[in-house]
Amino acid sequence: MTNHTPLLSVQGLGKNYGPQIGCTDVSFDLWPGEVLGIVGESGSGKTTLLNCMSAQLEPSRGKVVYDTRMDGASDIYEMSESERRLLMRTDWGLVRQNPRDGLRLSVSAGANVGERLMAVGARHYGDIRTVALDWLNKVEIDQDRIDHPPATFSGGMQQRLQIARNLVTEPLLVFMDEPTGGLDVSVQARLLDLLRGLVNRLGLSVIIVTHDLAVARLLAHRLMVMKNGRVVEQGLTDQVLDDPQHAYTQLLVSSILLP
Amino acid sequence: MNQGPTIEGYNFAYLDEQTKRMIRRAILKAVAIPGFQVPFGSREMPLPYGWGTGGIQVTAGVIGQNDTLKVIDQGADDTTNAVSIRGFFARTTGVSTTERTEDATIIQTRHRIPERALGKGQILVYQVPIPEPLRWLEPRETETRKMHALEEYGIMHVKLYEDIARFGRIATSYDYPVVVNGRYLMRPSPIPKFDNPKMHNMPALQLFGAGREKRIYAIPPYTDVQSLDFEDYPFEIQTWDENCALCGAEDSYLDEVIMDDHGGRMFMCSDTDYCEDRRSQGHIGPLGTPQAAE
Amino acid sequence: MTTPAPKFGPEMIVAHGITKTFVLHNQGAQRIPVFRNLDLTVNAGECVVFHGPSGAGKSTLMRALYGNYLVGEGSIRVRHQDDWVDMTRAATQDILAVRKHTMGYVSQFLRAIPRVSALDVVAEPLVALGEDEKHARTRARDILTRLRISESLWPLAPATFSGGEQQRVNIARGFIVDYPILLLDEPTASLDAENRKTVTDMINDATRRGAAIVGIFHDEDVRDQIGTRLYDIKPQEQAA
Repeated sequence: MTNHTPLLSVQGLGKNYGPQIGCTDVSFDLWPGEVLGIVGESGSGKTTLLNCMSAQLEPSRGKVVYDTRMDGASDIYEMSESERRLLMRTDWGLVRQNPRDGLRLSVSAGANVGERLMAVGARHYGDIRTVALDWLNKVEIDQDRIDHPPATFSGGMQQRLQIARNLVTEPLLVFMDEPTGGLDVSVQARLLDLLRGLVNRLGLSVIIVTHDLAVARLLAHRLMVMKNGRVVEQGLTDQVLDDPQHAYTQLLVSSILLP
Repeated sequence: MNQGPTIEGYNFAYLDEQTKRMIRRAILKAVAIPGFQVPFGSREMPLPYGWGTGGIQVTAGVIGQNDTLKVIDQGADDTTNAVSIRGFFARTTGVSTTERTEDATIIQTRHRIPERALGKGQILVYQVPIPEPLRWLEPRETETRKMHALEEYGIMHVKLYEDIARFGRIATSYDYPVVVNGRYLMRPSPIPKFDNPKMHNMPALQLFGAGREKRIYAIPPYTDVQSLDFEDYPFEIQTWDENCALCGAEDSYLDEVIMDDHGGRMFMCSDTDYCEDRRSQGHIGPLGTPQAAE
Repeated sequence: MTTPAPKFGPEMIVAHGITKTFVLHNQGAQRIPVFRNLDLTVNAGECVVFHGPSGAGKSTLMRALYGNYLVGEGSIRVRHQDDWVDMTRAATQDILAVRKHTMGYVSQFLRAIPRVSALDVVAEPLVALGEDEKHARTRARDILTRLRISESLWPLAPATFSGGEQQRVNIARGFIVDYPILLLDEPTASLDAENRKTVTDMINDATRRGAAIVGIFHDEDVRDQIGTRLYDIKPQEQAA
């Protein structure tokens, strides 16, 4: 019934900034096709945790073990930098909160989407362009804009382009840092729809950091609640939100404003 | 034959021996890793950055008493810079100089490769302004070094993709990026892409010097050099509708010369030695005059 | 004397010794006990109706069966394919697998996802099982028609529907897959007589095909028509 090897296994992960705890004692397994939400308020350590897991920041303690296609379960910090960087470009995706940090603004939308393909050896212009057009379509960006630089796009469009740029190599695991942050509510709704659809259709595993519980409920199968660098509660999303056990989770859930 | 430097108070080839050794070590490393940019301690030369200090330092590092030196700028031996640099080496080394490609042992060049095929035992020294092919997209030196080390060259194709998207074709016409020995991405200096195929499997040694940027790189003889392209947009060299007006050559790189204010123009070989040589053999173009027999 | 043939199929839910108390940490750790030491067994073909006054914990118990609420003590074993899954301590992916294949749940309120059409809301559980989208939509149309949801509403998001319409979309979504186990929380609450009859028929169809059903119905008529047994939940007392 269960898969035998988790896609990602985080073991005792912790990061200190001097004496200050960024995050500590984090352990969990993520399985193929699962979406894990990490929620918490500012300063909870969720972004630090995401950065440690996604090879952006070396942790102080613990392991991040990824089930690679070629070599099986491997500690990502034991790999060579070259292997890690290759992983980031192929099996993994990273969608940053600010799309401007995850795009090349001066290069056309088509080139932004095609770059990862070219980085792994795609050498046929026509094919690359076809794939780029297809992805623009999937993320609901007008195909006419393929040659426009994303500097001319709205925030929502830039975010959707960032998603396309990451998904073009069909990654198995995507990290997302507040992907709907800073977007208008209607734009958020559209983006969430897109993400839900893509996750379901592509069977992606996703780790999404968010402070927005509604986003977590919509997208995540499982939830981890963080406070002061520690995981205070974790479980099935609807269970954590409907029957919170920890004092902090209860506080978070009861603090949501409803229109 | 060589009476040595004609100017007093300077070491042979201007640079002191320790500097020449440092440059030679850099050259050896560059030859051992084809296409890899080796940092070197670029010295202060008697001309400013941007005028060929890198090329001059490389030449100074390899030139010996019995060498014969040719210097060209945009293919011509008689432009100001070529003349000055040739004179500089003549005075500081006393070596013989020549305008004939086939007689030279060292050829220092700015922006062209001679039309005449080079042979074993010759050295071609290129003057390089910007050695780093990834600089246009990545300003950080720390990052470009990593990209070379990890062979992360995807973004170079992004540039070519952009050209095709914008202009319908790869618009780069000079300093066209190449992959050397199947490994390092390299900028060949602002030679026209017309010259790129000459670098491939050349019997001569090719050395590249960038003085301001302090890098030396090399292509050893008989090395694989491939220009980047796409499968459906293959690399192509420039062509002209006309031949050289002076010597009638169909296969050389042509300069366009404006003749009057009425749009009159002619095309002539950029490589002056090549053109003269052809004329001396009797090949005369529509505007050429027969050379006096040697 | 012949022994009567067993009326129902195999056990599908076996809950034993379950206890639920809410602890409100931010209200001075106030404890709200709901039920204690309950046992419940539901067989295939049964329709067990939770019976008790408002606030007794009927919905809470149902949510616990679904894995939506945790329990303080006890086990809730559910027959999933050829195996048993304890919903109180199973791994997330196992609980999700049970919900996907084995256990359907029609809650009292439809949680409307913005921008998804009623048709797609209903079709989704079938699509999630790998069913072809077109075929899933056809099935969805059939059920929506049976529940008298007008065709003009199908492409619209249910957030703007009336309470009764939303409830029927919810029901359609819960019945589109032939789940072996169905949990129904007041499915007929906002419905008129006609639609109540339709839903009652649908429930009876399900028990007839061998589903194990647990339901909460405040309407006595409906209860009588579909329930095979009552399960009493008295506030804070052991079940019989």
